[in-house]
This record gives sequence, C-alpha cells and structure tokens, in this order.
Amino acid sequence: MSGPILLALRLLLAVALYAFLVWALWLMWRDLRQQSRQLAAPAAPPLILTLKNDGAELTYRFTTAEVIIGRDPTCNLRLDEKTLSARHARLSYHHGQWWVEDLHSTNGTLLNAERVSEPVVAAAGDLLRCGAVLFEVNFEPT
Amino acid sequence: MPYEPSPAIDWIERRLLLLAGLFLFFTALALTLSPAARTRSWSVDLRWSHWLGFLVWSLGFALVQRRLRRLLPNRDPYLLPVAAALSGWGLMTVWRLLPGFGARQTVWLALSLAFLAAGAQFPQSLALLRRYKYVWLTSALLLLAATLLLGVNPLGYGPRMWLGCCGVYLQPSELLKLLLVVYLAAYMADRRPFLVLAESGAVGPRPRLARLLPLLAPTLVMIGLALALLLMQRDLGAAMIFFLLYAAVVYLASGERGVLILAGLGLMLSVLIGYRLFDVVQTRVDSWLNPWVDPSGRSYQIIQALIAIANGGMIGRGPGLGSPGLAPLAHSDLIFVAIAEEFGLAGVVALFTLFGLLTARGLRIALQAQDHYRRYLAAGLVALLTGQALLIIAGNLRLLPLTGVTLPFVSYGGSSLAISFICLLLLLLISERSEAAPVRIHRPAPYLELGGFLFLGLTICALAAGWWMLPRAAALLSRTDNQRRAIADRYVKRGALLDRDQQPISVSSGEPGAITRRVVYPELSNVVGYTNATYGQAGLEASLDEYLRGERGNPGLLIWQQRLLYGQPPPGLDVRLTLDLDLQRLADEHLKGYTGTLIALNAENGEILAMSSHPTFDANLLDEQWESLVKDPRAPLVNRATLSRYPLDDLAERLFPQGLAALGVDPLPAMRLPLNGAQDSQTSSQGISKNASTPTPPGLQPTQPARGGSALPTSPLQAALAAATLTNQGVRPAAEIVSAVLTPLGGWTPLERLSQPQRVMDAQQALAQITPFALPTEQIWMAVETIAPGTPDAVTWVLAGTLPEWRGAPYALAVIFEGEYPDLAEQTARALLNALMGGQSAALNSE
Repeated sequence: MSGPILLALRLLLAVALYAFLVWALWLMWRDLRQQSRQLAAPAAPPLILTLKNDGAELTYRFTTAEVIIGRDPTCNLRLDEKTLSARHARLSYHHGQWWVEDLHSTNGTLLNAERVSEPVVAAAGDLLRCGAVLFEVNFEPT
Repeated sequence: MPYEPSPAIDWIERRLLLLAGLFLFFTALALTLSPAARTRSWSVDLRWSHWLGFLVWSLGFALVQRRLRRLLPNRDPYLLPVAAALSGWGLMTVWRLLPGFGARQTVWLALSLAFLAAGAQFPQSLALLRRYKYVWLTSALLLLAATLLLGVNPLGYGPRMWLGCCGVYLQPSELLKLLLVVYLAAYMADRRPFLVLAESGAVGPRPRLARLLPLLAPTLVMIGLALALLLMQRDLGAAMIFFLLYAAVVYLASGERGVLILAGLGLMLSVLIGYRLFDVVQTRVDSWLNPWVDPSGRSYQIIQALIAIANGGMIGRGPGLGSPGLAPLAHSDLIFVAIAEEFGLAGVVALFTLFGLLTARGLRIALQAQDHYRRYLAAGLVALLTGQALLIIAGNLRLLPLTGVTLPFVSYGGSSLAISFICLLLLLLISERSEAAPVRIHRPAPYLELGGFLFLGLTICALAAGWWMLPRAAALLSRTDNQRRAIADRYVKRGALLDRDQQPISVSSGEPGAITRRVVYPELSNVVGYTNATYGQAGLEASLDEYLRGERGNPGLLIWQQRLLYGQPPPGLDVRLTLDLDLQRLADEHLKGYTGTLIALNAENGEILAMSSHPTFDANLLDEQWESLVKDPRAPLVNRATLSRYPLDDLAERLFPQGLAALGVDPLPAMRLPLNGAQDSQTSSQGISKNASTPTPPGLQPTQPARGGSALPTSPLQAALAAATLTNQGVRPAAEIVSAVLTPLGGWTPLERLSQPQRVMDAQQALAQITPFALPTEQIWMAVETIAPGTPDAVTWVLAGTLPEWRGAPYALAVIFEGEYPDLAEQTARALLNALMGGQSAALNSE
C-alpha cells in the first residue's frame, strides 16, 4: 500500500513544482504582452475613471494603453468589492479610441446601462458599471 | 500615481512561495514514508528529522518575505521564490542523503536568510562595495592565500581549500568569486567614459582590442593574482569560473567580441597546458573523454553518476527511494545526480527551468538598472550563478569534464549557500525600482547573447539528461557495477534454486532490508555459484539471474508496476535444477579430500543428475574467505566439471577412434548456461593451476585444428557427453541442468531447450565401441585409465555407462581424479551407477 501512496505524493509534488513554473512563466508572459502593447500603442489620452459609489467620488488616472479592472492584485485598478470578478473588465486604447470589453465577469459589465458583450467604444462622460461599482469615464485631452 | 504596484508584487511572491512550500511539503512527506515503501511494510522507522529543515525553511522564507515587503516594495517578485524552491529542494536532498549534514545545512540556511533579511535594510551596501572594491578583493585574496598555509579539508583528506576550526569552515574561493564580480563591475563602471571614448574612435583611428588593454591592465593584475592562487591550490573548477566571469563582464561592458575570442583561445590553451602539468586535469579530462576504460578507478565517480541519472527515468524513483548515495560526493558536487535519480527527467527539466527563470529575471534586472555599475553587477551575478550551475551540471552529465564546484543554492556547503544568498540579496537590491529611468544601454547585444548562451546551455543539459535517462538507461542499469542490483537483493526476495525433488540448494530469507542468500548445500558452491554484493555473481546464480531476480518470467505489467512504485523488481522466481541432491551427496562423499570432478547424467534426455567438483568452497563464507580462495593454487572457485580440460590421450583413441568432434560433442554452447565460473570480468578466471588449463571460450574446442587427433585436452562435461552418446546407442543427448521455472501464471514452466538430441553414429557402431569395456554381469561398461602416470600431471579417468541390456533409463558418467587413483575412481563410478540403477525409483524417472 505504501507504494501507491508514495506515487500519489510524487505526482502531487510534481504538480506543485510545475504549477510554480507554469504560473511564473505565464505571469511573466502576461507582463511582457502588456508591456509590448503599451510600447506599440500610440500615446493614449490619459484615462480618468471616477468612482461614483456611496456618494464619495474617487478619481483614478491612467497613462497606460490598457487598464484592467478587477479584484486580482495584478489589475491596474484593483478594488476589493464582492461583486467584482478577479479580472472583470478591460479598457484598451487602439484605433484611436478607448474600448471597453467584458472579461467574462460573473456579474457583467454595463456601459450606459447596456450590457457589454463585445468590445465597444467608450465616449467621454459614459457611465461604466462593473458589478455594483459605477464609474464615469473621461479622457484628458492630449 | 494614485495606485501602488506593490500589492501585485507581494501577491505574486506569496503565491509562488506557497507553491514552492507545497512542493517541499509533498517532498518531505514522501521522504518520511519512503522507508515503508522500500521494505513494503509499515512496521519500520519512518524518517522524521528533515521536517526540522522544512520548518526552518518555511518560517525563514515567510519572515524574509514580510520584511522585503516593507523594505523593498518594488523588488522583483520572482527571485525570492525561485531561490526558495532551489534551496529547499537542495536542503531536502542533503537531508535525505546525510541527515547530519542536513542539520548543518539547515543552520546555514537560517543564517543566510537572517543575513538576507538584515541586508535588505542597507541598500547603500551596493555603493559601499563599489567604493572599496580593492579593499574587498584584496582581503578575499589574502584569505585565499591563507588557505595555502592554514588550509584544511573538513573531510580530513583531499584539497585543503577551507579555513576554520571547531566545526565551522569557510571556503574563501566562494567569497572571492562574488567579490571578483563586484570588483569588475565597479571597475568597468568607473572606466565607462574611457571605454566609450575608446569605442567611439575619438582617441584613435579604430576601436580595437589594443585600446582596451591599457584600460584593463589593473584588472588583469588582480585576476592573474587570483588565478595563480587558485592554481597553487589546485582549485581548477573555481579557476575556470574566474576566467569565464572575467571574460563575461569585460565583454558586457566593452561589447568587444575580440574579448570572447581571446578568452576562448586562452581557455583552450590553459586546458592543454594544464593537461600536461597537472595530474588532476589529466585525470579529469581522460575520464571525461573515455570513462568506460577505467570504471572502477579514475572514472568511478562519473560512471556511478551516469548510472544514477539513468535510474531516474521519466518521473524518477521518488524521494528516498533511489540510491543516489552510491555516487561519491552526491551531497555537494553531484547533488544534481541525486535529484536526477529521485525526481527523474520531469524534476531535472523543472530544475533547469528554475535556473532559466533566475537568468531571465536577473538579466531583466540588469537591463532596467539605474546605472552602469548595477547593470554590470546584476549581469555578472547571473553569469556567476547560472554559469556555475551549468559548469557542474554539464560535468555531471559528461558534457564537460567534472569540476569540483557546487550547484548554487542547492549543494551542501555553508560557504556556497551563503554566497548564493548574498548574490540574491544584491540582485534584490538592484531590482528595487526607483523613479529614475534606466540608464541608456550602449550595446544591448552582449546581454542578449549572455542570456542566449545560458539558455542554450540549459537546453543542451536537458537534452543530455534525457539521453542518459531514456535511450541509454537500459545499457547503463544492466552494468555489473550498478550496485542497485545488490541493494535490491536485500529488499526483494530472490528466487530459490531447488533440486529435482524441490529440495532447496540455495535460498533467500530474512526481513525486507536484511534479506540474505544462503547455500543450503555448500558443496555445490562452485556449480551453482554465488551472488554477493562485493564479489558479484557466478555460476548458475549469474546465468539464471534474470529469473531469480524476477525480471524474466513475471508478467510485464507486474515488472513495470513494481519498478514504478518501488523502484525494485518483483519477487524472484524459483528455479528447479535437474540435479539430484541424494546422488550429489554420494558423489561429494567420494570426492571429498581429493582434487577431481564428477558428472553423472541421464544419457537419454541429457539431464545432469550430479555435478561435483573438488576442492570446493562455501559460498556462505565468501566474504571471509575470498582472499584465500582466490590465492589457493588448487582453485576451489573453479567448476572443474565444465572449466578444466584434461588430456584423454590413448583412452580417447580406444573408446572414441573417430574423434570427439565427430560425436558432435560441442557441449558448452548447447548448454543453457555459461557454466564457466563467472558472468563478468569481476571474477573471471581465478587462479587455475596445473592440469586445469585456462578456460577457452565455449565451443572453441571442436573447431581447433585437430593436432594429434583426439589427444586434445577435453573437459569432463564433454567426455561425459561422449560417454552418454555411446551409452544412448549413438544419439548424443542435449545436456541440461535447469529443468523448470515457477512462474506466477503458468506454474512450473520448462525452459526451452537450446539444442536437440542428435544421431551421430548408428547403434551397432556405438555398441561395438563399448563392448571391449562391458561388464555384462553388472549391465554396465566402464573404462578406467591413468594418463601420464608417475608424473605430477597424472590424471585418472573413468568413463562409464549402462549397457543396452539394462531396461531402465540409460545413465552415463565421467569421473576424474587428479593423481593416480584408479581404484578409488572405479569405486566412485561403480557406487554412483549402483545408486542410479538400484535407486531406480520414481524420483529419478519422474520426468
């Protein structure tokens, strides 16, 4: 009986070891992809997101060409809010526009109360709702 | 920025550390349970002590992580987990090999982590290292010089490269490696303006190597000093690393390809010179180029390393289930081998990927460094860590000559571990990102080339490991110097050798882990042979090894499953011989005290019923008596029945006028078994004296030119077969000594016969040839003759058999006494024939 138990442990340790490596490599690759996108993109007009929950207004300003909203610590805009998915929504600048995209979130993303199912263009003053969080989208003129 | 990037860094680092901890936890748990799997029982002492190491590792890295989060919030998040995985893996491996050393390594790990935690508070130490570069390097050189006078070796032998006392030892060459990188980085950064000037051509017509030389003069002096000291110490591995590091840092700083070409030429030249001057270099290079010629001497270490690597296979034997301790220095220089055996190709590829991650992150840190000093330093540290790992791993895999350097983070050794962690600390300090943008890179190519070179090296090493572990594994594992076979014999029951009535001749017994082999009837030792951890195998134990060991005859799935689960073969199969112990006893009683041999066989089916050779030995006492047995001029280890050759002279002319070759007596290849003494070179032909001529390869005898007809010396077995041919009315039987194997699926399974009986003369002719020797009243024929009487080489022969009038199975025998004993020989032959014919019981006729 000790042999099969040990074999299971040997497989588990291999899985843990490879999980370490694969995860590290995946993170590094994601990092690289984000960096390359940022470098390739033309200078994006800085994105201003204003958090409009609870009456209190909080403003975030981003100069990157890609902004990811979610609970995950690797997100550009990280909020500890139960209704948010780990990686909830992506705002990215290409073709001269800022685009909003839902990242298969649990509670969905709405732009001006319309569900975002494919990338759509955001305009200044649009209201973006991720789960229970509401933002106002604005751009800084370049 | 309104948001901090540090949560992501912490999160990545913590997650990775957690996964590394999980990996180590399962490894430690497997190690704890491994004794149970080895012995296949739960009533054994499990291993617990290494959990102390695991505890220190977990607490240490958790504390360091907390501290780094505060002190270096923008550090590289991958470096610490990679170092944690490597050092934990090494710690578990050292603990698995030598628990005492594991405890020491744990203390060193705790100290290194404490240093790391403390050092993170002083980012200014980088500047300090730069400012006093000559002081540091000179003190390290002085320490190294001190080893020439005060050096010791903690092992008590070998090169004296350590300083210290009272159980704490330091290896100054490890410190020197690090300080050399610091010095070179600082020096090159200080001279940066001149380097750029030299390159831009502002101070001369063309930027060439010659312009670099004056700039490099001080470093050449320092490196020359270091190399000279290392050469005096015979620390050639370290010298090689110094040389490569120097070339790497100068190339990174100058971007001048000529440096690499010059360094390559210099390295080749110094290897050539070293080969002439130093025995060490010669030994290492020779055993690298051609290890197979001296597997037990100079290349013992590398061959044992390769066998251990081959034993790893795809997923390894599992922690605690291999035998990596067989390779010398498995805990330090050869720790990669220990990991390869127990974690397999999967583990080795993971190990290389960890070093690959270290390289990638290190070079990234170098490229993003805020000044040239930090950039050179980071790249140099990467070259030091990964380069040293490549040097020793490639040595373990026989891609390069074996050098005595450690595997950073992994190998046992306080100095090595501490220096690895200081390198880590420096890299972490450099990686701490500040607002300042990275300084412009003058030439990025050298960094990419360094990374490419290191990745290429890791890939080649992975391919080489796969080569030894998969296509070459079978050949390596079946080598006789693979001691894992002898170890498996202690844990897995070997099959018994039984006589035809299933009485035991040679059996294994004992608890797993302490199984011993015992010859129940020791007089047969030189026939059945022995299987011994020190002296190898001989006789039937050697030729039937695959069945006795369970590697043949068992279902393939069972063999595969046992190897996967336990790294051992399944329980061995019992083998039934054709020998009859009662008859054997009778033969031994007659021969005891004399030098001679006897073979009795069933002339019809060729089954050998008794085979006795005296003097004999007791295989149970081999360990005590080996020396005297080997030197004994009467050659007790030799089975005279098959190995010795005696002249037949005119007995042959009278009994076999047509010559033995015409009878088709070519017995040795026809036998299933190489009955000659031993299977391998370890014990081939031990001291064969006067009459017993050197054994010829089987089957050589009949094809020799028939000088003097049948006067050629004949082996007793050949003579017995010739006598059996006459007895069996002209049909030569096929000799057999193995009757059947007890397989788990098929019960007693007869082995396939390797030859068939053959009619070589007609019955009338055979009868005519034995008629002159017939004793009709006893229904037997018997020829007795003393060859060369009155000389020291006198030999008495008896060839005998039953007559056709005998209604039972026909029997034939050959008896040889060295010396003049015609009466004794005749008595012996008659006693055996009487026993055979009188005891014509069911036992002898059962087949």
